[in-house]
Amino acid sequence: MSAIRRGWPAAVTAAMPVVAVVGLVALITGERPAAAEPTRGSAPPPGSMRRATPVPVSAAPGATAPSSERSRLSIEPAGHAITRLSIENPLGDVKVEGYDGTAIQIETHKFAPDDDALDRLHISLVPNPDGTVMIKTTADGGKEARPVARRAVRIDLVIRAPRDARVEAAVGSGTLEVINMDAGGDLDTASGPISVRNVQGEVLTHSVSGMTRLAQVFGSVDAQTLSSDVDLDTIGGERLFASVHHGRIEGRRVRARDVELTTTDGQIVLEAEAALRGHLVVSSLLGDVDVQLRRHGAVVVRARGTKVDLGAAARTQPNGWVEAAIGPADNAAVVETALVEIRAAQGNVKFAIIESRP
Amino acid sequence: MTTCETIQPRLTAYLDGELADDHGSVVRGHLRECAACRQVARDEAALRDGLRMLPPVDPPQALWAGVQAQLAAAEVADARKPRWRRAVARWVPWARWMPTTPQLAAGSLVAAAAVGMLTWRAHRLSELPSRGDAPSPVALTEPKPEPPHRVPAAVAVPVAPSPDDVTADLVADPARATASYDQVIEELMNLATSARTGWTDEQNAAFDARVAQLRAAITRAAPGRPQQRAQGALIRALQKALVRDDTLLASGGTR
Repeated sequence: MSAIRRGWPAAVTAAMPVVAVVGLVALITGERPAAAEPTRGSAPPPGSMRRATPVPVSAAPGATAPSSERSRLSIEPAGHAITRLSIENPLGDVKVEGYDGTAIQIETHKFAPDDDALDRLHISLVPNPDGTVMIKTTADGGKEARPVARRAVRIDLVIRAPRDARVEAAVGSGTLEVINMDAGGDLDTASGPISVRNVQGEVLTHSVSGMTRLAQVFGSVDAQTLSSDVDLDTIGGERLFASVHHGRIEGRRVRARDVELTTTDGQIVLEAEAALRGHLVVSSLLGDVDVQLRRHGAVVVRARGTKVDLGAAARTQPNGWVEAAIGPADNAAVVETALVEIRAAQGNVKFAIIESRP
Repeated sequence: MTTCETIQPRLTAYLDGELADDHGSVVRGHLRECAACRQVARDEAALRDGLRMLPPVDPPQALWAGVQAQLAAAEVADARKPRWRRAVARWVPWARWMPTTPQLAAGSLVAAAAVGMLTWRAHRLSELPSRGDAPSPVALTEPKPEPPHRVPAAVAVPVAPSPDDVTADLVADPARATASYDQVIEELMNLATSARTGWTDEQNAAFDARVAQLRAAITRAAPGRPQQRAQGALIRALQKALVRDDTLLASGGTR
């Protein structure tokens, strides 16, 4: 080694220790020479944020092999607690997980066909004094930018947030997942699936064609999709509204006081528990409806459909409704009677009671 | 020591989240204490929000063709650059702006002309008779610059991204979703057309009034998600009218 060094010019020999130190620092921090700007990767917000080092996984400079970059951030609340998390990521997945801390921890993962395209992907993060933290992803398009197809780039976000922050998130075709939160959320996707698990508080979901799955939600729910299924499991809140245009609604262990499930063209299968004085309306224009009800008190069921099977002694009214009263008929029971209305305008109706154990 | 003069030029970058941690902290600290700069920041944020609400502008086809021609010319020029310059530009972002040899030559000529002009002017000034209370020859003799003839600044027309690019796809996202909602509304309205033949006049009037009310809400709503929410409300009302016509109409369309 020393023999080789002896052969080099003095200036090169003198520069070697400096090059070695710079190289070591770059190796430890994972910074690329081109990513030396402080705003590269994840934009630092005007808040008390610790920016962890981005860890690029990229091909050799100039090569066109796919590139990716991971980075982690942590935002401590400055003054006010973080109460609302507003996320907009049209470029990939979002997962929000609640935990018992006060900071927001964000892990970002960017993918692109090459380094130039990777540099066009940005994540902006703005903590506001009112307790809102806004996270938004974009792809910039400078005049020099070579066209990159949307499917070729991606930004995934995994966020750990204080449980009591409300989540407002929108994605495009990526997955939107929210778990273990206590203040509900407002979730929106174009074609990406929505998954909500173990969440308290009001949950609103909207999707054009993303499968919507809600499980263990303890709060009012309002879910709407245009052409995808809605799956509900263990829902307990004041209201449960779900509507689908083309698609199926399936619910299990549903216990809400006011339930409205509607499809234009899709089957509805519901296993629910009738709340005292509850009101359950299940209706489809072109699909079949199948309801199994667990009851604690009296229930009055009225149904209309091409073919109606209420599984109990039922009377057909002159207006076409088929009605059945199930359970005690004394005055106290009438006050607490749950009402069930089932409509399948051009489909079949099937209803059954699951008797509660004494 | 930070002053309003040093902070205000950084506000845009601060609001865009583009300042590094320490710089952001300096700006934030100043904003906490300075009401004037806070107001400027608020105005700037409001302006940005307002601009975001503007509908996208489609540039004329001729402009886009011109932009493409310029891009093509730039790519050709880039390809003609020596290999070492492309290599440097890959690692040093500002190096891509290094002038070409002809540009360097032209720049040198301009610089030489400027130096010549300044030398000549300085020579002329030294020849002028000095006045006793003149603070400096330059201040005395330099004519006040005429207010420049104001040429209207070129209107910044946003350059349309390439239709194959991710940015173009992202811009089209809200319109695509809105169109999907519109399509469903149309399907439901068609279904309603056949269903309402069996309704009474009163029921038809109640339905029309409700639909008109919800359509007005769609028109009023801001483009994007607010508009899609309003469309969603109309879809729900139409579903209820079709599937649960009696319930909807008996309650005036509210439930």
